[in-house]
Amino acid sequence: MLRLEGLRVRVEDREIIKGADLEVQGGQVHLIIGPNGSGKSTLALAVAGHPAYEVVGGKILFEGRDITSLPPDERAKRGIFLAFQNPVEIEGLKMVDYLAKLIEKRTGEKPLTPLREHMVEFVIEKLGPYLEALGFNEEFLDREINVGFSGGEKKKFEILQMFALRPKLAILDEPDSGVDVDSLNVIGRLLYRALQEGITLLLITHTGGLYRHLKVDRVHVMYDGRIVASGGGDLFERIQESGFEVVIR
Amino acid sequence: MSLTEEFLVSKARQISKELGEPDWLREMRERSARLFFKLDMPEHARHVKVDFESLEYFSPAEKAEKLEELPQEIRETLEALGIPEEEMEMLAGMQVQVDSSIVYQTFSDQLKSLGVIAMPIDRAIREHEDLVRSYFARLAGPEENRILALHYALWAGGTFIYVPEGVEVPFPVSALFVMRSLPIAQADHTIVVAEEGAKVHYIEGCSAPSYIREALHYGVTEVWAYPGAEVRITTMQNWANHVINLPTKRGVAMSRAKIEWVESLMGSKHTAVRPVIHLRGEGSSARNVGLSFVKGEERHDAGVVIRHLAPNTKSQVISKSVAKDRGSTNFYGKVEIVQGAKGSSGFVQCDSLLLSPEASSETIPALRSDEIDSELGHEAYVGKVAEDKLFYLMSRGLSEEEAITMIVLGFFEPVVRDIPFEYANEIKKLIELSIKGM
Repeated sequence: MLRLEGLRVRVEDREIIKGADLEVQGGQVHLIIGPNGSGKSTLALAVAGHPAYEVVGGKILFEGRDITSLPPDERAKRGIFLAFQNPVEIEGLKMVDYLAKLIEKRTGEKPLTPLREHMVEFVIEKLGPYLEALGFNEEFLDREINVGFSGGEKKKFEILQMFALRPKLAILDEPDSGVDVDSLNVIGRLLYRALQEGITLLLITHTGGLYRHLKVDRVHVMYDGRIVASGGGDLFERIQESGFEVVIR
Repeated sequence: MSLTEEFLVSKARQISKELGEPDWLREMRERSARLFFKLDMPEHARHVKVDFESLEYFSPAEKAEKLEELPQEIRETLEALGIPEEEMEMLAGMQVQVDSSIVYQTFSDQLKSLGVIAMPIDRAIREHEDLVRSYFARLAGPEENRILALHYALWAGGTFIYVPEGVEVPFPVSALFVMRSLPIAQADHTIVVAEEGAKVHYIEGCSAPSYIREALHYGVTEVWAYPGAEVRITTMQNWANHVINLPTKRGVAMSRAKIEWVESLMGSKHTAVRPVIHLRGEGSSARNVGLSFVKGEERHDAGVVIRHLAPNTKSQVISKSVAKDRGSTNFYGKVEIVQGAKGSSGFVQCDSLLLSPEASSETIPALRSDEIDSELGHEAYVGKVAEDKLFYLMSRGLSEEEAITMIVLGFFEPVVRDIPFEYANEIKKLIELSIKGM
């Protein structure tokens, strides 16, 4: 589904990704792990098409097509979703208006009118079970995007957007960092559900917190801008036990 | 046509005669016509170029008994301001002015029974002459500058609203002003008086369809809020890009009275406006909230002057502006607290968002307090649409235009939330349209 061939990415004047190769098959759960600063987030942002992350070599292929030079919205339309590690705040933009727009983008359906009650009705009709599972009540829909959200709320809101958009591939950049145990369990359960609903998952993570909820198909270790090792679920356990030294050398 | 004193005085007389005005008004018109040639442009509009000679100053329009009888183009313009016809029928009192004439009016019996007067000002002069006279030109006079002189010489149309003591008007009273004939100069005069403890919300919508070439809008609004009264004025302006907009707005609040002015300003070739609110009574307050959007070569010089003249007065000014293309938007916020106005506070917040490198914005705060026991604050922010916000939304499949629209609408939200839904929705649509094709 996703294939990186010798990907090199420069941010400002520094090359962060120095020739990464990666292959993620549809319907699977892949993990990218690696020490801080090894280039994991850069990889995620480059695949999503952030304009400040310049691809200076190699290719990004999605479903066999080269998407390396596509703008971010085109990549999203093809089915790539990125759950941000640090989602930005957008002042004044209400969750309900935003979610309705995302749903409209995907389905072509619109609320009856732009009246708040119709917008809320529409969003609840389309996302009700997910809102509930994530613990978001109707009041929450009046809040502004990520403004004043706790760490856990931000991560859960990213997951909610994933269900609004129903991508083919979801790249999740540390969905488990800075969240409490309860939120972590909620996120884990919903990622399992996403997988069941046909969403391929590429998780960037530091911890084993989510590992318990998902059967991981493949683990990739990133170090100094390259994927230095790939393996099955046991690789993650070995690294958890003995550290990255097992694979870095 | 050349604009001589003789021409202007005879034009003033002609209008007065056509409207069947009393002598005091005719005399004021004639005196003002002469003043025009002696006075300068208002200080805040010195740089605005107006081709006074090419304008048509009085253009009566056909009256209609029912909305359906209004010409199609006018009805479309009204719709574009955000009010579908069925809504218009429901408004408590409303009138439509085309060019120099009120062409349509409704006034509910409910208001009449409450003793509220809400009618075209020329009719109010016929039916309540002494009342109108005691408020007319009291807060802004013809001797101040040449735009006001011209206004008092040639004004036509506008609204007179009087709310008796203790009466709360249950629905907004509204007036819509449309410029149709070209090249028209529209000079409506509106007076809102809220007696002690009265409450009223007046909504005015102004629009000119895009085929208008050169036009001038130079209306005057005078607002009186007596002790404990609450007056709210929502002004929605959507001007074609050849309209020069030089309105005068004045308000005075007596003790514990509140004046709230919410203004949405879209378009116009050049707008220069400087509302002045005097907080005259103890505990009175003013809130001035504005949004402005400029594109192309448009320019807005907005601002506000608030004078705290009594103890424990409060003011809040929020200005949010967005400039696209080579648009320019500027805000001058002057708040003064005089000596003795103890316990008063004023706060000015001006934020601008620039959507292109050629767009510009400037904020000029002028805060001054002569009273130690008082507080003044100012915050200003000029920024671009942050790349990270844009990327966040685009990574969700929104196009660049859609993403910018969402960010701009979010930016305006603190102002838009004060605007009634139908109007707010129309503003949103206008902003979407304006951002398209970036």
